[in-house]
Amino acid sequence: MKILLFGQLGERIGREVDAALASDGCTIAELRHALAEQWPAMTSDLASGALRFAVDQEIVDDSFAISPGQEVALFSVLSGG
Amino acid sequence: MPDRELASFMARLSGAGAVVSFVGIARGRDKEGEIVRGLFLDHYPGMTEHSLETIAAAALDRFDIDDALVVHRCGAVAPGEPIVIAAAASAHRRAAFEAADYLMDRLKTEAMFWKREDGVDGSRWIEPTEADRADLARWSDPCPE
Repeated sequence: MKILLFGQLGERIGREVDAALASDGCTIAELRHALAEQWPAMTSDLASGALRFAVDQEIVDDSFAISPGQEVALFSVLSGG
Repeated sequence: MPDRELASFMARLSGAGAVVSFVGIARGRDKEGEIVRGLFLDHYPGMTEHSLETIAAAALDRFDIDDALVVHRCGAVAPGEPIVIAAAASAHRRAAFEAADYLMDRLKTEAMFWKREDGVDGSRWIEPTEADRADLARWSDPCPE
């Protein structure tokens, strides 16, 4: 599953990462866990609670179930304009 | 360019008696007075535009204005260059002044950008300041009837 990253996170980890997850989808909580395992450099960010996930450009919480083909993004605190 | 954006905004108005506009300019010094070589604004295409539209729509709902304009740069911005223009048009001046103020206070904390300041000794990602959050909090009271 491809995940888009923005801001400081995108600069540090990469603008897009491919997370190894079941092909039939997963929850945001499962994705959070998988990302921490695959990218230890993200572990503290993921644990901080400051990151937000968006699916198809809507902010979602940990219980959200991602379906195959949906656009998933992860980003840190906004800077504002 | 802000002058063109403002001219285009004013050309689409009909019957407004006041336009208030604000142009933000990238500063060449950071808060500590150190030289800033440039800014980089990361954005999420689609979601970022939606965040700007949401803020403009909220201003239209909240104030007695006829129209609102928000145009924001993304990518690399050099010191001295305009970074944002916000404007509001209304029949009388007070609503336009207040709406322009409101637009900028919300943009400073809620516009979907990640901003990196590139200085002489390195770069840093910046977040809204306490002052930005306090400015936004001014508008948290319910709208007057």
